[in-house]
Amino acid sequence: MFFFFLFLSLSLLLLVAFLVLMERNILGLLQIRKGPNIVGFFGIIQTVMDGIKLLLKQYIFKNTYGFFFFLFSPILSLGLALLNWVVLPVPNVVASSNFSVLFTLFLSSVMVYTIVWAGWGSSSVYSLVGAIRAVAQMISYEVVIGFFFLFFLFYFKTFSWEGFFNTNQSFYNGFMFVLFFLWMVIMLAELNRTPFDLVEGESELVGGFNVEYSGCGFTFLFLSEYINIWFMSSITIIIFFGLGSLMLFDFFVISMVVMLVVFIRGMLPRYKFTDLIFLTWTVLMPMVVFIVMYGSGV
Amino acid sequence: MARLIRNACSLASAITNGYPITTKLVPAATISVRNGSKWQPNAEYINQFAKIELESPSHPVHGEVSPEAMWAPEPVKYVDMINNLDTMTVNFGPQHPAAHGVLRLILEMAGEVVIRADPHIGLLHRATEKLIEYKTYTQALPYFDRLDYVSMMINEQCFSLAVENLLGITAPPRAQWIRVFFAEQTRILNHIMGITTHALDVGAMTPFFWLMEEREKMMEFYERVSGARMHAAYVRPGGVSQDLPLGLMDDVYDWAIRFSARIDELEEMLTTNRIWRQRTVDIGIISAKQALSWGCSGVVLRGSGIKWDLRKTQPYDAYDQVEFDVPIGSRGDTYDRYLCRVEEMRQSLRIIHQCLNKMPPGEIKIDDNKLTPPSRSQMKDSMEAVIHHFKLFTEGYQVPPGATYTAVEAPKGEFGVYLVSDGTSKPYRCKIKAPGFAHLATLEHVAPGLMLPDVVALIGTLDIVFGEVDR
Repeated sequence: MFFFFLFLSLSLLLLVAFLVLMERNILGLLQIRKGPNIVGFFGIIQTVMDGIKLLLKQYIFKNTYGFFFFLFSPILSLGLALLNWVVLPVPNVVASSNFSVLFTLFLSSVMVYTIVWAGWGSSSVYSLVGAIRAVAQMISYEVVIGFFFLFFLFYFKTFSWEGFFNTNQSFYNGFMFVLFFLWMVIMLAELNRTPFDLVEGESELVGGFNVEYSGCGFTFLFLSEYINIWFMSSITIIIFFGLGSLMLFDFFVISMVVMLVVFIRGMLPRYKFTDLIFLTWTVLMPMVVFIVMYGSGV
Repeated sequence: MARLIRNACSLASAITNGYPITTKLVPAATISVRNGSKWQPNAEYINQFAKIELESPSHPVHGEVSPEAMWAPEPVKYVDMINNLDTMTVNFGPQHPAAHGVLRLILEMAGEVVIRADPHIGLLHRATEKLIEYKTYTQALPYFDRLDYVSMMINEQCFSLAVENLLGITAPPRAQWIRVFFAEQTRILNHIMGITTHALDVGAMTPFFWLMEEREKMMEFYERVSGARMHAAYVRPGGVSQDLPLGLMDDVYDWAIRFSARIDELEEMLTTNRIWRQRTVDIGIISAKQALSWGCSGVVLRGSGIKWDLRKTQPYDAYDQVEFDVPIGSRGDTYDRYLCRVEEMRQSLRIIHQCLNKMPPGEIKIDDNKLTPPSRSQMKDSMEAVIHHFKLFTEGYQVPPGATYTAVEAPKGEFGVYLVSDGTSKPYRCKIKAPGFAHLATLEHVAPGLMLPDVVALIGTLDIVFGEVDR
């Protein structure tokens, strides 16, 4: 089990490299320009090389930083992002549990701390503003995502991700399109991706909560963010498409969801902080509560 | 001196009466020797400006400017209840990605709400005005490329018109049409930069890449006509430096018929986009009165609903012979200014098409070798031509004493040059009126009450380029 998890972690790191490569290539296509196309064979190992370079760079540390928070948050961030996969049945469950959905929710709540610590420990104004935004945003969306999962928990009458396949998925209809759209919004907000990337909105906050990070620390934060994209995409197919018998096909579907996430980045401007919170509590929250009522009552 | 300034400033009142002024020659009685470094302003001198200040241009429709309009009602509520310790001071820039160059903006924020914004300038100050005093008129011209470095030829055009006003000459028709032709391309060049970097600040990065490609094509037109992609030094006093190369107009036509589709694409991405509208509608409102009081011009003025375009009110070069509309906004917010810019690009395209159709044959610079250099072939045959060439490129040409304020409608607003000549070959004084300077100053009044992302959007919409703000 342990070696499988190690193998999984390493392949995740590699997947992140390819996700970044794919992101840059898709953005290149969208913007009518070339993406990376030189390093290796047609730029395939560009991001791997970038990652290695980034890891080897000097880790700048000023004594104005909060020592513990600044150093520990990237480690915690990457650790939590990898730990998420332990209970996920994609590609294979490492530690089986009857309450794996709750575990996932728990981890995504704890992940807020990494951003808060990173922002607070950096002792930079921009990081701090980014961290404050992150707290408000992630806590708001924590509520929404919790209710959203609750619907499926009610519907499937199970608390584990594996249970989602074992039950009869007979509810695929037009309602699912609404749910899928809703899920995409929640997912993007949870991942801090465009149009909800105001935590690190680079034109406002320079780099957001990770302005002060360099080298290893930045790499870890970056890796955890992109691992989470794969994670959320996997959850998407668990919820909406179900796992097939062919692992390659599953991977293909996951990649399509990831591509959608990347595609949206090229298309939309950024939300404002207040609009985002407004959207959560006045639009998403009532919708999700309604859906939960539908799922539990009917 | 007083008469000079009064004459220069009566320009605006004359325009509203319907007399477009093309040439304004004012004899300078008091200026004969170069003692600028010793002269000190006295009370009498200062007061005459104070009087003129009250007669600032006003539009008959919108009424007189009231100084009270400058004081907006307090945008931040309960500002006196905000403790010093409740606020956070942010040094926004000069390294900030949304600072559009080297803006240093001191923001005092309560949470994310800005309660005080204090723009600091001067980080790109290069003493252009002073340097120009030590250069001949020909040598001074390239400095204008470097002022607003995204609308190069229009700055040159302004300086050239100012020198022509002092000399009492006008460029031949073909030169005038070429100037308009390239001025409108420059306007598109500038608006592409203005809109797409604004979008980039708001988070939409794709339009930037789409339109930068078009910008690249236009810079190639620049290169073909002048040899330089940016700092063209193409528009010169007395005309333009050289004729259009063969085939350029065909290629510009090919580009122009496709470019309107590029504007459509931009609009598809932004105009009806909900997020874009949430970020821009009713953000950074500048009312008509405020716009007048703060000295806004160009899109910032027109976005507030005041129809004032120097190309219409005071046509220079061939602008009286082309047809175009001047878009104005209704609310004066960021979204209106964005729409105005997009529409101005379409109107510029219209003017470019007219230029392509109506481009007259003939001379491209005034046929006076005392002012414009002779051609290379003339220099091979004629001793006089060689002498003219030598004189022009060593001491330059003398400009009769006088002063002029000449303004053009630059993409960012009214770009003006107040040029004082003392009869030598170097300007006595060259004061540059940059539109961005006044627009940046409005930030102090408009930004309080907005949130940090709105301030970023506001800086984007004011279309500030530090080359001209700092000069």
